Amino acid sequence: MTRLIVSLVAGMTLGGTFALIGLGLVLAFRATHTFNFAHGQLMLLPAFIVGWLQLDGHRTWVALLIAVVVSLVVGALFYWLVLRRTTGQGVMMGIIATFGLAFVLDGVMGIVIPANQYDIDLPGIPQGTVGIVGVRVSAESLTFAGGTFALALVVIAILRFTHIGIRVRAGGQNALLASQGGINVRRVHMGSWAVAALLAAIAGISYGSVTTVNASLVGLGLAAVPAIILGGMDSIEGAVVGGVAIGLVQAFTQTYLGGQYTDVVSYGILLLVLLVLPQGLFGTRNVVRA
Amino acid sequence: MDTTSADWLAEIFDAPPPSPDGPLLSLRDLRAQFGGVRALAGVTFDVRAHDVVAVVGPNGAGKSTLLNAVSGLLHDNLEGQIHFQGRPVLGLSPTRVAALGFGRSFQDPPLVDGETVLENVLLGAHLRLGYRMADQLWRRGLVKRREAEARERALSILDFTGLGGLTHAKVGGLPYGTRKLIDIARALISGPRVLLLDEPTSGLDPDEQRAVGRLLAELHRATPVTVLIVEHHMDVVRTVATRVVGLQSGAVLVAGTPDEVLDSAAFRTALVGGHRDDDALAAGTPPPVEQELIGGRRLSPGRKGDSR
Amino acid sequence: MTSTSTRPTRTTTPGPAGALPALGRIRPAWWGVAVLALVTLVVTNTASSYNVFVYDSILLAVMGAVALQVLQGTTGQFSVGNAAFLLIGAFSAVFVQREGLPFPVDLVVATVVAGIAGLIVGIPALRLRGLFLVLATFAAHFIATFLGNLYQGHHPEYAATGFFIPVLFADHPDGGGTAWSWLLFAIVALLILGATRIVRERSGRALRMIRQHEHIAPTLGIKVGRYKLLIFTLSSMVIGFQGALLAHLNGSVQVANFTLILAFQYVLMIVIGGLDSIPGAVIGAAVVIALPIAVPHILTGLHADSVDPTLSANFSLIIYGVAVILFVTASPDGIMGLLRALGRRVVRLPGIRDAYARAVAGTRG
Repeated sequence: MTRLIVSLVAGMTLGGTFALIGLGLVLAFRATHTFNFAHGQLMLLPAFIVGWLQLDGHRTWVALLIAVVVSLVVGALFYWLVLRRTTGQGVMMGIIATFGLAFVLDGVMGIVIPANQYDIDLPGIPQGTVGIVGVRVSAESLTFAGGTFALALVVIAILRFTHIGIRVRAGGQNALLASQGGINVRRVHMGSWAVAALLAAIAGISYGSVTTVNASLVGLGLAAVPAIILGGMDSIEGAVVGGVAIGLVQAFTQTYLGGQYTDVVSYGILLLVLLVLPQGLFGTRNVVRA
Repeated sequence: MDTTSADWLAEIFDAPPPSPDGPLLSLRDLRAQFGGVRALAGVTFDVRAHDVVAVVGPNGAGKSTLLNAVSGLLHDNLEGQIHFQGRPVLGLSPTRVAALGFGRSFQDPPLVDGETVLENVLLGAHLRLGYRMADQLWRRGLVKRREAEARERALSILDFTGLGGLTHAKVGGLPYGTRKLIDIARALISGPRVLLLDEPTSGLDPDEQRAVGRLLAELHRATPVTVLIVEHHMDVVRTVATRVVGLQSGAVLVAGTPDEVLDSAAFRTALVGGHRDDDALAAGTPPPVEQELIGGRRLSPGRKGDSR
Repeated sequence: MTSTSTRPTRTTTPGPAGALPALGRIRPAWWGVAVLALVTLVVTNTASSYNVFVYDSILLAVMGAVALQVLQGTTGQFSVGNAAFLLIGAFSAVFVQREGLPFPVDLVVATVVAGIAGLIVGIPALRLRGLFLVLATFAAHFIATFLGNLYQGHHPEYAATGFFIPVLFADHPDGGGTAWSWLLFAIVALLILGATRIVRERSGRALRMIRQHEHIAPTLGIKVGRYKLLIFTLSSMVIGFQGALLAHLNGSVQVANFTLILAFQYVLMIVIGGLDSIPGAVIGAAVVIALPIAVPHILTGLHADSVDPTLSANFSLIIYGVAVILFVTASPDGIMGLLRALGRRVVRLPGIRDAYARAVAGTRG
């Protein structure tokens, strides 16, 4: 029973993180039909910034602000300078461009960030443990599980119900029609990428706060790939469903099979989905043809 | 363009084996459905050997779908019958269809950018060249021989289609009309028995259109090739076609000689406005019979009653 | 219209015979091999043993780059599977060695095993295109890593450090550098010649058609599935072979060396060098491998003090990334594209233009 509860909580924390990451990836994909292989780095960079600035004695909100701004700028700039020019050349080139981004970010982090590992301490987060059905669970994990999940739902609500959200969704779905409807598609796409980077930042910072900030965060970012494929690469709701599903799968695999199996199970699921149901649970057929 | 003589072309084109009387290619009740759209709603007509059959009709009538069906590119969505020389070929893979002697050109020429015109035309010789990848490693003599033969043929066809000056030009920056010609040249080099051409003159200026018309006429004169051509430009149709099939909303509206069809009232009505038929089809009922029994003749032998 | 039975006269005329056209008939690949032989000669005789090791690493990387080039650059099958197949090859070699079998046998086994793995990945991958194919190879990478960890974990004494096998030619007086260089040169030369031969003529055209218009290719009679599977298997075999050689060059094999970043680097190589170009693969491999070595020298050239190795490693990463982004946005044909553009400019200069035109007329029919 203990293991079950622990797995559930860990799974939900992971799931919330994956949901946020997944939302970011889906937004980026809908904008440019590019899969962002640099997403792990986009998670790690802001987390590193917060950890480093905190250690250096800066106030937390300053560190968070700087990290968020950096993320937004990186996301927007990458779209404006790079992806805008590769859209004509096919999917491959866009993806390769994200490889380039990953390398650049890795290099920059290596040079600028002094240490390899940091802890993040976010104030106001309940410490200690909480009892669930008699099992002691970390309050912090619970908070983040709930928080990330709630944030994901908020993002979905924004996308569904607000003006801006509708524009983003339209721009992502059919750029030509959207532009004829008066939407400045490029600005929308740039915004999508900026938001994607922001979501990655939040995911990275929150997960890094619960555990620790080091290079493994990149692996986590990549581990969200099975989540969005399961959900459907162009489906916003699918990102959350897939994220939670894979989060739970990973947590349970970790507990009952052992840590070395988590990757292979997740990627096994990825392979299975690719072969059997490439558009995922909620994706559209267009994804497959692109 | 030099189409003064192309008798030598006959060497490239296979004569089809004498088939028992019967059409070379026959389509029976061809139906194709994509999602909610019925692209082909029971197409039936015959193509005799050495015919040049022009398929005409408004946009969305199903003309390109028809060619795709014959080429074998519509795997799941196709019903009905297609017979080539008496053998059923519906459901064959496009590779098998190509091997049977079908050549194809497309509305948007799928050329290999970054390669020369010559290389693109040589792609059409893929089946004829026939050697394997391993042969390219250690049977260089064989490969060189066959490549040289194919090259000869390609160069002749390039001259025939007027592309001789562009032999070594990269396909990438060439104008649309030229790309269409290259696509046609590629279809010709394999010496097909049946040539399927999808709007070869669309996007061309009137001079270019006439040139293609002359090219096709010469092809018809010098070789036994059978042609099924989707065409919008009626003057080209009048120049080259021996028979015309008019499609609308995925079904055959009229068929006959070019003069009969193009001057018929039904055809003109269809071109101007065929809303009634579209509504009928959308409602799932077959369109009212709008075929003319041209000059008292039935449209093609063996057709069932006129309920379609 | 007059009607004759003769073919129309050719619009291009043959040019004069002579030495220049004859030289022009020697395929560029052979020139490349000759240059490579020359470089090998120079390096093995003049360079320090460390630089010879770098050169050997470059030659080794060329194998993987050429394999990926044919798979991705020519046939359009986007793969990040290089690290996975390297791992499979290296570990197969280790396994065979530990069973007591001698040197060339483990190379053969590694190649075969990698080929089988290529088939296993390739068959289901046949129906995946573009992004989905990348993701499938991406998943394959993690599965291969898992298997490697399983094997490595099975032998707890090596779990932490990985396996050790004897370094080939280590007993040579110069440490084996010269022997390795010539062995690798021979292998790479054969690979370059072979690869050049299969990406032209009938197969090359088919592969490129598959890359650009896969759904139309069958109407030309191209058996798409067969070609894809063949190329996938062949490239996996080459990469597996490279992995086995790698094991013998380094002497140590551990899962941690076969990272996803390593696979990305091979993609970098073919993009930087120029897609669908065998010499591009060679150049790209040389650039990517040599860059982390060259960077410290450049940095020390700019600042007087010696440079921290991790700093130069990170600088290299940034340079890779920027280079890739530049090539992808500005010059999609990589370095080869730049060279060709340069060549065209040079040829336009008056004196050269006429000589070139004469030479070209002489070699074309």
